[in-house]
Amino acid sequence: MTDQTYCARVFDALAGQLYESYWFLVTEKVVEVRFVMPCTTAVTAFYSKAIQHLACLPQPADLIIWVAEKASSDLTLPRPFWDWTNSNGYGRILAFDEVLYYANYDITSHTFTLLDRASNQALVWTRNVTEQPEWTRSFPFRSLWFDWLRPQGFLFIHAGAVGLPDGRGVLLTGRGGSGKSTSTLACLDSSLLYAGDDFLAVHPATQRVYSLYNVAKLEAGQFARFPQLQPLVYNKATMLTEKGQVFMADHFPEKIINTLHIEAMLLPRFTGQPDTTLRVATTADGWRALVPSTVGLLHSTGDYAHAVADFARPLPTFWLETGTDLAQIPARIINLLQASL
Amino acid sequence: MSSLPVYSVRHSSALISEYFDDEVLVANLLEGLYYSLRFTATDVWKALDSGATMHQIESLIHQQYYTEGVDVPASLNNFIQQLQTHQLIVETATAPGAFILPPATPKKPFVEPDLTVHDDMQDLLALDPIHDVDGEEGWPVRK
Repeated sequence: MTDQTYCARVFDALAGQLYESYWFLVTEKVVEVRFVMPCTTAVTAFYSKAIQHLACLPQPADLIIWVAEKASSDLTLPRPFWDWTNSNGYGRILAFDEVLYYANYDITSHTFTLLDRASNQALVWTRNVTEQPEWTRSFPFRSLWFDWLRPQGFLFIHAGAVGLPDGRGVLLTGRGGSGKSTSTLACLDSSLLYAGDDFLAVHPATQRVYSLYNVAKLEAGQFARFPQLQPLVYNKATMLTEKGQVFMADHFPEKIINTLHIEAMLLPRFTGQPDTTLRVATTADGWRALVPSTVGLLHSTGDYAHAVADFARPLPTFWLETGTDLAQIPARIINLLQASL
Repeated sequence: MSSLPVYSVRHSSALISEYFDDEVLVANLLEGLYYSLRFTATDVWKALDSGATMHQIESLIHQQYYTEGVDVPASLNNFIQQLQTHQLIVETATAPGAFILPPATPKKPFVEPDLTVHDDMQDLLALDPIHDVDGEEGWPVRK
C-alpha cells in the first residue's frame, strides 16, 4: 500500500458514513467539521467548545474535517501500512509525502490526523476523548490547521491579543508564565476586546491576527487575582494538575473579537509593584519572547522560525511591566493604541 | 600564509541565527537551546558568518575596539572554544575568504566575547516517540 492508496481508502470509507456538520470561519477560510455518527456529545463538545466563537452559517467549505472517535463510532480505518519508527519523534508519519499529505499520530491524546491537501479533506480519529488530558480541549485541530494554513500564508504564534472595537490591537507574548493570560484577562473590565490568550493565526502580509480559541487559561493560584472568574472554570476537577479553563464564548461572548490589525507587540512582565508601565523593548527582546516558545510548541523548523521573526521585526515592541492594580493594564494598552492613531 | 585554524558557522536546517542592531541570537532547534551574543561576540560571529579567517577577525577586533592590554588571541580562542562546544561552528580546511574588513569606525570598549545560553525551549522539544503498537490493529498503544 502507498500513502495515496491509504488516503483514498480512508476517505472512501468516510464518504459512506452518516455525520453531523458544523461550520467555522478559521482566519478567512470556511471549515466544515463533520462528526461521524454515532457520536457522543462529549466528542462534539471536546472539538467545538474552544472554537464556538468562530461558528458560521452552512456554506461551501475550504476544508472538510471528519471527526471520529473509535470508542463511539463504527468507523474502522485500514490497518496502518507504515513503520511507526519512521516518524520525526513528534508523531509526524514520514511515510506520507508531506507535499501532498499531513499525517500525524499524537501519542498523548491517541489521535490520528490525516490531511489530503489535494481534496482539502482531513480526518481526526481519536481513540477516546475521555482519556485525553483536559488541556488538549483548549486547542482542537491546532496541528492540522497549522499545517493546512501555513502554505496559504498564515503563521501560528504563541501569543495573546486584545484590541479596540475599531479593530486595532496588540499582541501579548512571552513564554509560559510570563503573564499573557493575566494581562489579557485584566482587559475584560475595559473597552478592550479579546482575540485569544495562547495561540493565534497571523497573516504577515497584512499584519492581521485571527482568533483561534476562546479559552482563557490560568494556574490555580492566579485566580486569586480574578475571583470573579473562579466560578466560571470549566475543568474544576482537574485544577490541581492543570490550568483552569474559562470559555470566553460561554460567559463573555460580547468581549470577543475575531480579527485585529496589530499595531504593537507587548511583552508582559510582572513587577509586584502597584503600577503598570510600558517601556521600549528591543526587537531581540521580542524574538526571545515570541520565537522560541512558538517554534518549540509547534515543533517547527528553522524556516518557520525565520518567518515568525520576520513578522515580528517591524512591530513596535514594549515591555508591559504589570503591577498589582489590574485596571492599569488595559489603561496603558488603550493609551498606546490611541497614541498610535 | 596563515597557520591559524579556520572556522565557519555550521550550516544546518536546525541551526538558525537572527541579526539585530546590537545582538545576534542563534538557536539550535534540535537541542532546544538558543544563544545570545552581544558586544564583541556579535562582531566575531558576523565575521565568522562572512567567511573571515582568525587573522582577519583579530584585525577587526583591533580596528573596532580599544584593545590595549587585552590578549586578543586568548579571548578569541576562549570564545571559539565555546562556539565549538555548542557545535555552532566547525573547523574547516580552507578559509571561506569572502570577508572584507569594514571601514574603520570610532572604537568601542572591548568586552570579553561570551555566549549566553538559554534553555527554556528545551522542555517543549522533548521527543515523544511511539514505542508499542497493537499487533492486531496496528495502532499505537499506551506505554
